[in-house]
Amino acid sequence: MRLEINAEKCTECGRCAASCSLEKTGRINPLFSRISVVRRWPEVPELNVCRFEDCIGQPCIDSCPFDAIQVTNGTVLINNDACRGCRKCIPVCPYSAIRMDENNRLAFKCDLCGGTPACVPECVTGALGFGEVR
Amino acid sequence: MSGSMYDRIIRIDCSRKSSSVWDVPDDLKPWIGGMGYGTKILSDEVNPAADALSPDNKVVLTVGPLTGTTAPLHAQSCIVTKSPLSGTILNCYAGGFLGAEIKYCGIDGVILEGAFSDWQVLIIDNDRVSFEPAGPVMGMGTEETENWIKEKYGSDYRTMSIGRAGEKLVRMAAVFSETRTFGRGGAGAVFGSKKIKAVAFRGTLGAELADTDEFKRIVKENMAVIGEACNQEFNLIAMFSRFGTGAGMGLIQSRGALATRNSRFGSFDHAEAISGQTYEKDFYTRWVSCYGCPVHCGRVHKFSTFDGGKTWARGPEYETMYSLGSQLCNGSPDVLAEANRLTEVYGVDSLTIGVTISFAFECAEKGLLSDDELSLEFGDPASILGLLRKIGEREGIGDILAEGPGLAAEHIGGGAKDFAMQVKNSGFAAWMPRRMVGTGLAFATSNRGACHKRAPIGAEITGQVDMLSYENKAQMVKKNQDVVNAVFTLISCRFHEFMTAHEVYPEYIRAASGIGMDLEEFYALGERIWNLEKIFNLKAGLGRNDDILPRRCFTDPVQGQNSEGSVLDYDRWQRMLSEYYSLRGWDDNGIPGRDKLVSLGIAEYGGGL
Repeated sequence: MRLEINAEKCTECGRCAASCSLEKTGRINPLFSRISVVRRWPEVPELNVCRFEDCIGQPCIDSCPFDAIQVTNGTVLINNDACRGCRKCIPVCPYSAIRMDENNRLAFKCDLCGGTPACVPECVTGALGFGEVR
Repeated sequence: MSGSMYDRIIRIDCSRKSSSVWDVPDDLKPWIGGMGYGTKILSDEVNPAADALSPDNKVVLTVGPLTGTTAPLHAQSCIVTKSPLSGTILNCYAGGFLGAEIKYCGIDGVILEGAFSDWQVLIIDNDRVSFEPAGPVMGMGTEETENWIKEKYGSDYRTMSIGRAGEKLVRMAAVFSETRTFGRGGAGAVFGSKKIKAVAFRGTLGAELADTDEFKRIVKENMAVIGEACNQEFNLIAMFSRFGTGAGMGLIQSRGALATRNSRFGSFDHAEAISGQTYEKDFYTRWVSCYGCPVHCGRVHKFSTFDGGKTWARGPEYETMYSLGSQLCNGSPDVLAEANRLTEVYGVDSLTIGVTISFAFECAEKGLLSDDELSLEFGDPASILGLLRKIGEREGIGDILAEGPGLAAEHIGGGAKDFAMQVKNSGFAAWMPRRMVGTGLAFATSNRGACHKRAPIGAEITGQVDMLSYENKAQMVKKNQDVVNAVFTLISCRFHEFMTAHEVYPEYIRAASGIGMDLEEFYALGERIWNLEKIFNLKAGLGRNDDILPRRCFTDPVQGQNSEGSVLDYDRWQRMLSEYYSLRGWDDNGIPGRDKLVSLGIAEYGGGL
């Protein structure tokens, strides 16, 4: 499965990030979200989220000294039990899609909500979609 | 903490350059948030007779229980203060992303008290306030100021700021937040009087909910209703979604209600050239939203003619298409866009400044006003942009006009006040009372002056009710004012209420902050706030004679296509105003009766009326 990103259609409302943080943390703040929208007026925004199989080379996997990032059932995931919070994965991600939870000192990223992403149905303009791997 | 409300408000004592956290007292909580909090706090803490530009005035900036959540169309934050423009209590709103960030700071608002001795930028991280000298940004426009803050302190701050007009205490100065505007009533001048150039917020806490599952259910249903509206062909919100708020230009023109040439005409020959559809067609356009909003009525365009080296600008919105467009006989989308951009640079309310410029142009036609550099002719780009600048700078004739159209008219004399299109010194919003009688009553009786946010505009412009009739308009206006004031405790965007059954609001409140109330209690809250505002205004010295439209509305038939020569009948108007007072439980001078105040639970505020 893959996220389809169409940034030209994004109106920067941030419903994706708000619903992600609510789903994942029970609280709402884009800081806790696995997806973020960066305004670049008048140009289209950046949508920062893991591209999964569309990411060439998936450099986060090799960057982790603790093998905490692995492909599980076709999805790149961080194993919280193995993550030591070393932050090495954060700068190598070409999509700025990995962030640090400063409370538990663990890295976090999108896990596609196990197959039913909370963000996708919130996007009314179709900037975000979800589909099969090409 | 009560669900989504943190029950904490930051108090900033500008005179002492200190801040503290104020725990929200139990008797404030039933006022829900937003405008309810602001109105009660200002009524409790500010003498209505105080000079709005003195340290005795306060600014109450609030958010509500739905701010920063996933509830759609709840991006706005609210300022309540005493208006230096109208001399009334003022509530004004800005969308964008500021409200959500305030919520993420773990607070329900900020109270600004006193005045600094030198200019400051306030940096707020959660509940920690730091005071930074504003020297480097003094004289800067609002966007420039906000960019400076983001560069210096971090791009993740959400900001609000004033421009030169606010610094110079122009009475129609606004507070801007990333191109969204606390527009009406001169809150920017109050910031200026306190020597606050800007405030920036960054919050690391998260909005929580009293009942998350129930909240998600309500949001899902609400989103479905809004989605359906946005997909209908002949739905106002769908039009806004496709073409921005300027989408309705053609409809308003067809109803002869597009105020033109200082409200002498009800239609404008070049209306189409400055409509939302034209901007969408002729310019590079990106749709942009406020926080969490699926309607995306915002527009970012690229312009080339008058951009001062920039390549893009936000807007203009519909109300600006009237005030700096049709009202000034300005049919150029480029000049209009540049005028709109200048309102952001100087930091002024585009509505009142447009009305003030159109008033000045008519004064010039009648030989009552002149300028050495500007011809002051309708439609002249140099005069439109030049006078906007002069008002923003308080330069030359701009100094008098910066007082607002009503006060300037009194200064100019010669009958000028007859055609200053204002109520309580606040410029008309984009609708014509002679063509829409109920909307006229709303302009006249609004507690903040010539306000379109609590008027039966939709019902009148679409012909759902007879726009020229005086029948039942008093009831419609009262109901509208009470409902909107209730909804503004949640700080819902006005467009939200167009699409949402009122029963949903108490459900939202219960699921978000855990406060239980039924729909009748919710409406009563709106009426309670309306009466508390009225009491403030009466104590500030306003009375029945201030609830009046300018003389032009009663003497000059509207000219132009589709306008039917409409004019208001003074005696019928006054009878309608008396009917309105009576429906409100007020006497014929507009003073609330004791029974009404007792029934609303605010009798203690009625002393001394």
